[in-house]
Order: sequence, then structure tokens, then C-alpha cells
Amino acid sequence: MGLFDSSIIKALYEHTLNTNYAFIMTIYGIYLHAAFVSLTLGFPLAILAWLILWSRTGDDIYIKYAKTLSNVWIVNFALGVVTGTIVEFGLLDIWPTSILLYASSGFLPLLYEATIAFIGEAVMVVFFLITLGKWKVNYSIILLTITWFLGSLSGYFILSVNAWMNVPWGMGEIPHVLYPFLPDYGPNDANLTGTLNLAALLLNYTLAGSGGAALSNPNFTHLVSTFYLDPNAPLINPDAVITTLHTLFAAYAIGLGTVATALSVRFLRTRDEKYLKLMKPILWLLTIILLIEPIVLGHFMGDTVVKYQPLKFTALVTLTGGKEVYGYEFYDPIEALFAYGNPHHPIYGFGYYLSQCNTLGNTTLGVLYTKFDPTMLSYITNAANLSLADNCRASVLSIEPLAPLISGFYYTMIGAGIIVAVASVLVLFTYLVKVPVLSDITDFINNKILSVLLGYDTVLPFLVFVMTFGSAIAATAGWAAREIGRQPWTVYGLITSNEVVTPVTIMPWFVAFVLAVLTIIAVGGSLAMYYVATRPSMIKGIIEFLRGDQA
Amino acid sequence: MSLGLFLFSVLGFTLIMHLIFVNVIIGAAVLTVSVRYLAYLRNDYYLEFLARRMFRILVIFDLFGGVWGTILTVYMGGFFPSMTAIFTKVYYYPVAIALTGILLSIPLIVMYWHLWGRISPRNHSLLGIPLAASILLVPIGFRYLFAGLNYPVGIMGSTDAVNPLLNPIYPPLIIHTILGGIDIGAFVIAAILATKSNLDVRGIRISLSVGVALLVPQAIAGAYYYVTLTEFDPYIANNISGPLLGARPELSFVYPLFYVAIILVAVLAILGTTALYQADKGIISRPIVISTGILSEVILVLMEFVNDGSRYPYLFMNGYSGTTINQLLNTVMPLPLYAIYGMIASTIAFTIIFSVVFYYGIIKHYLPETEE
Repeated sequence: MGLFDSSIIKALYEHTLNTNYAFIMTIYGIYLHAAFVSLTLGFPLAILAWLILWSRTGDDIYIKYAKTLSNVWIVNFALGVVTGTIVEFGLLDIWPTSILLYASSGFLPLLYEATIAFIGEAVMVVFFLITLGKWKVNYSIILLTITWFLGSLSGYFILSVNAWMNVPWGMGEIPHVLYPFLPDYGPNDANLTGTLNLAALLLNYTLAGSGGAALSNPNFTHLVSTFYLDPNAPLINPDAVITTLHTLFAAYAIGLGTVATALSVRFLRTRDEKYLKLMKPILWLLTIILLIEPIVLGHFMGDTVVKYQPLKFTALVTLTGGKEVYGYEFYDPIEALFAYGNPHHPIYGFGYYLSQCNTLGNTTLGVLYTKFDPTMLSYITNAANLSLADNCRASVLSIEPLAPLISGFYYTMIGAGIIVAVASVLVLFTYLVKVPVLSDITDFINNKILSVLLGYDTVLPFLVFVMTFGSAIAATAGWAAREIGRQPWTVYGLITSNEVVTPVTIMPWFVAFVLAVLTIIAVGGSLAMYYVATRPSMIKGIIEFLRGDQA
Repeated sequence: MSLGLFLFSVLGFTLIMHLIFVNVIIGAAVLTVSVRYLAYLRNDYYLEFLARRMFRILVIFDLFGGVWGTILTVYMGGFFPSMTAIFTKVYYYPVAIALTGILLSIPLIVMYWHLWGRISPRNHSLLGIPLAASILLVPIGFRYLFAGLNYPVGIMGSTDAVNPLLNPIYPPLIIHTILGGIDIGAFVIAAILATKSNLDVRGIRISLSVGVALLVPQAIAGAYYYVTLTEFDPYIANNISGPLLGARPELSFVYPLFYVAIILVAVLAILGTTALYQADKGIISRPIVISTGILSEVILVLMEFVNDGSRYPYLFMNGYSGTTINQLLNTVMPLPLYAIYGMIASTIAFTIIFSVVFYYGIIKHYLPETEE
């Protein structure tokens, strides 16, 4: 009999239809939110650059475009709020066990986000907009800087919760005890009995049909008692710090890149040099961000995966490791060099993790609870005979089929990141600053090769497109690798996806409805931003259309 | 003060802050759309101008009202996780309806704003219908949660998705809420139009007319709600009624506030009628008109405090008892009080900054009535 023939293993590790439907809505919603939020975080940098230049030069072109972009930004901000609301309620409504995050590890980050960062950003964005052009420019710069900082702070708080789901800092050695291949997650700030209580309740409800119903037991919190002791731990999670920087830099790049791309399009259409003038400060920011993002931050992000999420790391290198990733260990000098600083270091395959599970011996859940938490034995009656080793092996086996997909996303991210970094170097040393040797090389590539292929005026816009779309592809693929790589858990090493999903049956029509609403918001919102950015010509076109002039 | 009572109070404070804004949003939305439609029907430029002014108020209140809604949600999840989980399980679809309302209203507000004057008045008026409907969907969905707190139909144990939607508390509650929202919105708009830089006699007359006229149906709806509570929620009804209405309340702090609120309603009716009478004659007593806006919000605060505080120490009521606050209180982590104090301080600080923004945006006209 195979491991997944066990109804208990299935209930824990094989996604239910509800889980799959919930994932479809959540993935779409989160990506949509990320797209709009990237612009929300990136646009202020462009506006800031133009306001500073306006204050220094007095050239009205900067304030004119700063105002236009500010109007686009407010539309975008509204869309970010809309999609953020979807994500928030999606968590509460579709993944009700995630409410537990609000009450424990996510308490400080989520409540700080709402009561400091978000409220502040919402007030300041209106403050900035209504006073722009009416108050001194220096005041506007200060207001915008505060707004942008609060927006980024909001990102830190939200991402630290996501980071905790990837690296549950403060859970100490508890995940390691259940899954011996996992490391310790920081200090032992978790109460063992409380954690076992929680696990028993979630397991009980999951076996009964849906783990998401556990929290709706009015006695839930008292049955769990205290399982997490340090509310500050998620904010100092090493993964939170690097995830925040990595993700925020990607967002800044996409936001700035979108502005630069829009200006490039206008330049290609009109050949008006003013668009290049407007683009220059943005390119400075963009190239620097894009050089730091993949090379420095990407590296540190990878380090935390290697250290804290071993299964994910093995899944990431599946495409280069080939069939060997399913064995005990294999050698990949390049990946090993980046991961361990030693090209001769072996990379562990899934076989290694399966063998690690064997160290759990024949201990069953029943034995575990009898020894450490006998009061909860009644909640795990149906799973009392489940051996910890089988549970551990099931977790490894359930990620194996996903490994090629995760790896595909990972290498797409790496490839896009390399292309983006190269494009950034070409822009930086040819169009922004001259550095001996380096500029000679980039000038040769841009002026002797790309110019011939694309035309002289098209090279810079082309590189801008590459930087922008490359950043978007890298961010999209990277996030997919990160989140799919978290499987089979929602909280790494602790809570599986089936333990989180709603007990309410999600109907296909509901999924279709949510996707339709999201699509309308995405399309409508994008058109609204385009409309605000290009309003004069669009209004003219609409008036002509309404008058029948086009006919 | 016990931790449970403290967090119950923080949640209540946040809810009331949220409702202070939300009621103006409801009123401003309905009035904007109605006045804009009348402007189209009568080809009345003034009414269109007035509708724009009302809409400006909606815009600035909507953003901040939404922020308080978010804070309320995270507090709920953080302080009372099981209560939140019960809501999302039992009221999955009402929450989805409210969420749809939020999702649709924000883009519709943006569209309504940008398309004003750019599409035909008829089409713009038509656009107002989904705008107002989307804003009303929010209380229509969320008020189910409050009905469930008062009378937990299907809350405990039931898996029937339809039964909770037939909660007998809900119909009077939602009628009371929507009428109240429009009423408060009308008085607050009148108050804003009575400020020096916004002085608008006709606008005040129109807003006050709506506000005063709705006081009667609002009182009837309130009585309907009260009668329903006496039938299904004796504990709450007793606490609200107090000895003057022949009840023996468990809580001594609720009914005095209810009596004060009733007296203030009478004062509001007198002041509103007086101000309307004067406005009809072209006389505006600014302090009286402004006081109607402030009074309407004070009454809201008191009435909502009475509505929610009267269930203490329970969250979900069931006759004379229920599920207590302490039973649903978050115990899975030691709650850091220093952080909660910081959160309260931060929200108050940003509310003060919002007041500055409101002053510049609405009173000093930094937020333009027509798009610049």
C-alpha cells in the first residue's frame, strides 16, 4: 500500500477541490495586488526625482509631469487598496485558519501595518496630492517622501508575515523534531504544549473535512492556550529582512520601469527630446536598483532558502540537477558555489530528506501525544496510528511532482535577472555615466551592434523595455517559485494548505465570479491609469467619437 | 480593567470611528447620485454644482472610512480570532457581498469623478446607480455580522448557509442603518455647506430638507429595531430600556446613554427644523446648521455604543446569556499591551492629520470641485 493510500495522509497533503479553487482565486488576487502595488511604490520615486529637479532647475516640464504622474498614482493607489482588500478578505474568508496569523505571529506586523503604515500612507497621499502646486515644492517633497516611506513600511510589515510563513521564526526546534531535515527556526519562542494543541485541533478538523473550521470553534483559543510567545520575533526574522528588501526593490524597479517605458513609447512616437530628459533621472534610479536587486539581494535571498527551506532549494535546482534530485545527493558546482560557497559541496536530493525521516523511527502521533500532550489525545484518535516518519515522508513526496515547475520558475527568474542586469549596465555606462573601459565596451555594444540592429534612437527605449519587462518577469517567476516552493505547507514545517482552507464549499461559479470581478478591476483600472496619463488626447478622441466625427 | 474589556473597548472605538465616516459616505453617495440625477432632469446647473460638492465630501471620507475598516478587520482577527472565523464561516456570502461592494465602489468612484462632464449627463446619471448600489452593498453585507452577534441564528454548529441569512434582527437593523446613514450624511453635508468658505444657502436647504424629513422614518425604523430586540434579544433590550421603560438592566452604563441619545435626537429635530425654516427664508444661522452635523454624528456614536456595548460581557448573544468576550479572546499569544497603546496613539495622530487634510481639502477648497 502506498503512502498516499492512507486517508490521513491524503487529508493532510493531497489538495482538496476547495483548496485548488481557493488557490486559483488567491494566486490571481495576489498577483494583481502585487502589480498595482509595485506601481504604487515605484511611481513616487519618479515623482520625487522630478520635483527635486523642478526645485533645482525651475523647468516647468518637471512639475507638469510630476502632477500628471501623481494623478495616475492616486488612481493606482485606489486600485492597490481595492486589490489589497481582496487579498485581506481572501485570507479571512477563503483561508480562515490564517486568522490565526492575525492572532499570533502576524499580530504585530499586520496590526502595525494597518494602524501605522496604511493609515499614514492613505492620509499622506491625499495630503500630498491636494497641496501639490499649492504649497512650496520642498514641503511637497517632504510629504511625498513620508508617503513613500510609509508605503514601503507597509510592504515590510506585510512581507514579514509572508516571510514567517516561509521561515517560522521563533518556532525553534519544533519543525525539526517533526521533519528532521528542517533546521531550527530561531529561538524557542513557541510553547510545545500549545503547539501540539493547535496541531491536534487542526488535524482533527482536517480529517473531519476542513481544517479551516477549527477556528470557528468558540473554545478554540482556550483549547490551544498559548503557543507563540514572542510577538516581536516575526519582525526580526532574517527572512523578513531580506524578503522585504528583495521584494521592495523589485517593486521599485517595476514602478520606475513602467514610467520609463511610457516615456520611451512617447519618445519613439514623437522623437521629442523632452521625454529623454524626463527619463534620465528615472534611469539613474532604475539602473542602480536593478544592479543591486539581482546581484546582491537575490544572492542573500537564495542564502536564506538554502539555510531555512531545504526542500524548496532542492526543488529549485531540479532542472539542472535532472533525475539526480530524486536521489540522495548530487553535484552541481555552480549552484553549490552560490549556495554554499564551495563548488564541491553536495546538493541534497529528495532521497536524502526521505532517509532523514527514517530517524523518527516508529513513533506515532499517539505515542507523541501520550507523552507530551495527553489532554488532546481525543482529538487525534483517528490519526493516533500515523507514524511521524510517514508524515515526514509524505511531505517530501508531495513536493516532488511540483519540483520541475518550481525549478522552471526559478530559472526563468534567474535568466530574466541576468538579462535585466546586463541591460542596466548597458544603460548606465553609455547613457548616464562614462567610466573608462566599461563605457567603451557598452558603447561598442550599444552603438555598433544594437544600433545597427534596431536603429540608433531605438536602442535606449529597447533597453528600457528589457529592464522593465525583464523585472516583471523575474518578479512574477520568483514569487511563484517562492510560494509554490512552500508546498506542502502554508506555514513551513507546521501547517498544510488543507488545514487552512474554508469549510464552506467553494462553487465553480463563485470562482468564476471572483476572477471576473478581478479581471474587470484589472482591465478597468489599467485603462483608468492610461486615461489619466494621456487624458487630453483621449478626451479629444471620445468627443470626436460622440459627435460622430470619426464616421 | 480586564484585558477582555479593554480589547472589547478598543474594538468598539475602532468600529465607531469607522462608522463616523461610513455613514457620511452612505449619505453623500445617495445624495450625490440623486442630486446629480435631478440636475440632469431639470437641466439645473446649480444642482450639478451641488452634486459635485457632495461628491467631494464622499471622496475624502471614503478613503479614510476604508482605512478604519481595515483597522477594524485586523483588530477583530487579532483580538477575537474565533469570532472572526465564525463570521467568515457562517456569513461567507454576506461578507463576499460586502467585499464586492467595496471592490466595485472604489473604481466606480474614480470613474464617476473623471467622467463627470466628459460623458453625457444622462450616462453620468446612470453611472450613479451602480455607484450608489455598490456603496450600499457594504452595509447590506456587513450588517449580517451584527445581526448574528445579537441573535446567533446558525452561528453555533449549523452548516446551513441560508438559515443565517433569515435572521429576524437583520431587516430592521439594515433599514435603520441605511436610513441613518443618509440622514447623517445629509446633516453633515449641510454643516459643511454652512462653513464660511463653502456657504451655500440652497445647498443647505436641500440637505436639511433630506435630513429633517428622514428623521421620522428613521425614528420608526429605530422603534421597529427596538421592538425586534425586545422579542429576540431580551438581554440587550433590557440594558437599553432601563428603568424608565420598565426594564431591569444588567448594565448600568447603557440606558443613560440611550436616554441622552433620544434627547439629542429631539434636539436635532428642533434645531434641524429651525435651521430649515430659516433657510427657507434665506437666513442661515451657521452655528445651528453646523451643530446639526455634529449632533447627528454624536447621536450615531452614542447609539452605536448602546447597540454594541449593551451586549457586554457577551459577544454572541443567546437570550439572556451568550458566548463571552473572554471565551473568544485571543490567548494563543501574550498580547503586547505597549504595542496596542502605540497603535491607538498612531491612529489618533493620523486622524488629527486627516483633520488637517480635511480642512485644506474641503474647507480651504484644495480639493477641487471640478477636476483641474
